Amino acid sequence: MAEFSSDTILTDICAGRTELEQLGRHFNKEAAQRSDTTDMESVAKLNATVDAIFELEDISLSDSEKKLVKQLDQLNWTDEQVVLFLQAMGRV
Amino acid sequence: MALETFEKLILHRNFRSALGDNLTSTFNSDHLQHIHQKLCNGLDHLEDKLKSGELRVDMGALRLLGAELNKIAPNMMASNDKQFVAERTAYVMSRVESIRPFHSLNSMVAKLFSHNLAQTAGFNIDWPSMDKDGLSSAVKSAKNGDKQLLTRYIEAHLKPMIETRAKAGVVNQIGDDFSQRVAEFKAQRAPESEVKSRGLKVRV
Repeated sequence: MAEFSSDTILTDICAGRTELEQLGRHFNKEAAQRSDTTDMESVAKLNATVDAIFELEDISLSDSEKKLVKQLDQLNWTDEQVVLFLQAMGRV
Repeated sequence: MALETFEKLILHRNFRSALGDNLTSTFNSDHLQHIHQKLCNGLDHLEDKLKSGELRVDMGALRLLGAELNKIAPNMMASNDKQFVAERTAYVMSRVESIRPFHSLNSMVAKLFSHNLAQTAGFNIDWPSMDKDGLSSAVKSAKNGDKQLLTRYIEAHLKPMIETRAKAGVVNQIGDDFSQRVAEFKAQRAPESEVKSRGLKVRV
């Protein structure tokens, strides 16, 4: 699978929403300064568990939602940053 | 509960984060409340619907559950008997599902708590191998008083974490690890509780 830069991933997620992209770029800068990196294998296992529980709860993620989860994982943001970004995404 | 995409993804991230909390759990009412708060983090629409903290949580039910679960946890930690772990996990899941101490997300709290508890006894619940109808009918029977179906269902989906560790060549550390965790738990969280040893034999 081709590797994309954090900013490229962000541009794809934001789909032209400038304010959202600004927030994301700020988080990208912070993520670049951190030394820790995400263990993608562990994250994939945890995602599989959560996806399964969501299916049991009848709130399965669609393919596009799963893609978004994966994209956000690649950005290496903290949980708090991801939640703030998603909240901003939900504001019209 | 119909959720928008961003809400589902917030819940997804919160759930994943809570899964990572597993072995530091205290298994009491605070733990249940912590899981619920963690799941609700950032979900403003849920918060807005609630007028106050009292409406959000039935504290009486929560304390009752917490007291029960706090007695169960030490014995779970001293066991590697799959059937025993399945029985206790089924009991805990059905109790949270029946009492429903929270305004929302009770079923998810029940699953997360059960998952943490089973992990403490050295097992993973293999959620991806479960099917919705099977689990749902087992939980329904358990809520009606018959926990056998749920116990059997959970037992069929419990996977020992030990197997993975044994392959990594650290099997001799498993027994000590359990004993130490039980001792730490008793010292910190439940000094009055009785821990029944059910053997810490490891088969390779």
